[in-house]
Amino acid sequence: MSMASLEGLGGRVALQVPLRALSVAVALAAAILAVLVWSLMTGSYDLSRAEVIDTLWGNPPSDTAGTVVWEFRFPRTLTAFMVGAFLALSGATLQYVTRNPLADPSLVGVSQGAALVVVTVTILAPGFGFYWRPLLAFGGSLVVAAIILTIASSRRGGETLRFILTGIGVAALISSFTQTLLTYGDVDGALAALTWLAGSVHAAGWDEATWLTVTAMIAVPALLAAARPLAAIRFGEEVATSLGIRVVAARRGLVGLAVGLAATAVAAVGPMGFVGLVAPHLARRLAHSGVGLHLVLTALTGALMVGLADLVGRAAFAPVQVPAGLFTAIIGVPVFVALILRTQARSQL
Amino acid sequence: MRLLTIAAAVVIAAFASPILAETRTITDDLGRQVEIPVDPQAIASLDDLRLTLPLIELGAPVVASHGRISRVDSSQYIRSADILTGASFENSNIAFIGIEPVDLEALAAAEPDLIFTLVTSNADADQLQAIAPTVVFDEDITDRFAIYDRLAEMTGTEPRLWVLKDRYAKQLAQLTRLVDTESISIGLIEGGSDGAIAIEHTFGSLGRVVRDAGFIQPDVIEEIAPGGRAALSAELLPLLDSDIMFDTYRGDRAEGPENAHARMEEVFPGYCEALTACTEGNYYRIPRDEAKAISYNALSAMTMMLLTILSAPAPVGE
Repeated sequence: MSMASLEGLGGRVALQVPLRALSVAVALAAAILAVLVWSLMTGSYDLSRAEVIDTLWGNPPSDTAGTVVWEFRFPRTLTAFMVGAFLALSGATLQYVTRNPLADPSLVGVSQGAALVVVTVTILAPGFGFYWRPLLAFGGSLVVAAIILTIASSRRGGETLRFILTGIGVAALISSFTQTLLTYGDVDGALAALTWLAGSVHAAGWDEATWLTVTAMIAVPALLAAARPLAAIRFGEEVATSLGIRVVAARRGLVGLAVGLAATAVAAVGPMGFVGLVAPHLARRLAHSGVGLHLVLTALTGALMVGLADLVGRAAFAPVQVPAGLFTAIIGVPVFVALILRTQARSQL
Repeated sequence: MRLLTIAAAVVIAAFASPILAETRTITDDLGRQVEIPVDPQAIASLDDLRLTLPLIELGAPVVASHGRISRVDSSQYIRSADILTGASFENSNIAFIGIEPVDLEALAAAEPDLIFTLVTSNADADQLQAIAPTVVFDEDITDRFAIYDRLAEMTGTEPRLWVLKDRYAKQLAQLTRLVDTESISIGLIEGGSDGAIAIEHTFGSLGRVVRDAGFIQPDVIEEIAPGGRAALSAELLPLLDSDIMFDTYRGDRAEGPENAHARMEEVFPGYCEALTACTEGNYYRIPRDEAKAISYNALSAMTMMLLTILSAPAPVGE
C-alpha cells in the first residue's frame, strides 16, 4: 500500500495518506459523474444535449421534456447509484462481520423476505400491491432478518458459523414459499412479480430517491464511524475483545446496519444479485486500504456498477427495458470469477 | 326573434361544448380520481393482449402499445391483435413502447392524451400520470369481457361495441339453433405444462362461447372459481374426457398441433388412449391466440369453428 505523509501545523500533525486508494476513489467518483451525465443525455425521448441542459436550467423545450429529464432520468439514475452503494456497503459489512468473503445481503434473508411478501401481495391482491410494495418489501426484509438473527444468537459461542448456516437455511425455506406462489399463483400476477424480482430501477422516482437519501444520511456515516470495531472484528473475536471492542454488541449493531441498508435498497428496486458480493472484492482489488477507505471504495464501486447496468439496460435495446439486476449479474459474475482466478495464488478466500 | 335566439343558442353550444366538456372525472379500479378527455384522440395501452386488442376492435385511436418480441424472427408484435384484427406495429400508427416493463420515455414520445394500464403492470401510475391521464384497470373484479364495456364508455366507441355484441348474439343464436348444445360435453385445456394440465373456469373466447351456448363441461372445470385457473395433475386427465376436446398451441411462436401433442405426451405418455374424445377423433388442437384472447373477433371465430365441427354429420350427440 503506497502511502504519502502529509504534515501540518509545524509538524505537530502528520497524516499517512494511501495515495492509490485515494486516486481510485477520485477516479470512481469521476466515472459516476460521467455515467450521470451520460444517463441524463440518453433515452428514447429525443432530446439534444442543449435541450437537456436547458431543461436542467429550468427552461425545458416542452412540458414533456421537463417530465422526462426531471421525473424519469434524474431520479432513476440517482436511485441506481444509491441502491448500488447500499447493497455494496451491506455486503462489505457482512463479509467483515462474518469473516466470510462470500457473504452478501441474501445471507441475512433480506432479498428473500422482501421477495416473499411482494410476490404474495402481487399475486393474491394485485390492486393493493403496487403502492405498498416498497413498505412491504422493507417489512418482509426486516422480519426475515430478525428471525435469522434471533435463531443465530440463541446460543452462546460459534455465533459466526451458526449465523451463516441459519441464514442459508431460512433463506432457502423462504425462497421455497415464494417459488410455490410463483408456480401456482395467477399467471399475470406471477409475471408481474417476476419483473420485480429481476431487480429493475425502471419505476424509480423522487419518492425512492428521497428516502434512499435520508437513509444514506443516517446509515452511511454510522457505518463509516464503525470502521474501527469492523477492523477489529475481522481479526477474530479474541483479538477484537483484547482491543477493547464489545464484540457481541458491535456485531449486532453492524449486522443491523447492513440489514437496514440492503432492505432499503431492495424495497426501492427489488432484489439485485451480486452487487453486495462482488463490489467489496472489486474495491479491494482496485486498491488496498484500511477498512474505512475500503468502505468508501466499495460504495463507489457498487454505485458505478448499478448506475452503469441501469443505463445500459434502458438504452441498449430501447424501448425494451432490461432490468439492471440482469446486467449486474452478467457483468458481475465473470468479473468476480476472473478476479478469483487471477489472485488464486495469493487468495484471501 | 325566436329563431334568432335559437340560432344563437346553437352557435354558443357548438363553441362552448368542446371547452366545457373537454374532460370528465372517473374513478379507476385503484380508487384514483382521474380526469380524462371526453373524446380521447391518442390512447396508449400498457397491455397488448388485454387492452390494445379490445381497443383496436372498438376502433379507438391507439397511438402506442406494449408488445412482444417474436421468438421466431425477433420482430415486435401485438399479441393476438395481428391474427385477430390484422393490426400490427408495421401497418398501423401504433408505436411499440417495449415489453413489460414499458419504456416510459418511448411512451412520452408517443404523446398520448390517455393511458390505460392494468394493476398487474409494473409501471408506477403516478409516473404515467405525469405523461397523460392514466386509468388503471383490475380485470379480476369483473368478468373479463366487461373490459369492452368500460373501454367503449371511456373512448366513446359504444356504437361499435353494440355492433360487435349484436353480431355475436346472432352467431350464438345460429349455433344453438343448429346444434343441440345441451347434450354435448366439451373439455377445454390450455395444454400440458410442467407435469400438469392447465385448465380454466372459462378459457378465453372459446370458453365463453362454450358457456354461452350451454354446452356441458366436465365437473373438474366447473369446480374452478369464476375467473380462476388450475394445474390439474396428469393422473386426473380422464376427468376431462368429453364428447369433444380442445387443446392449444402457440401460433405466435410458429408452433403447430404437433407441439400441443408433444406437450401432452410429455405430461401423460399415451394420453390419447386415455381419452374417448381422442380415440374417436374428436380431440382438436387449435391456435391459442384465437382460442384464449378476450376478443369479439375471437368469439366469432370460435362460434363458427364449433358450428363447423358440430353441425357436420356428427359423430357425437346422436
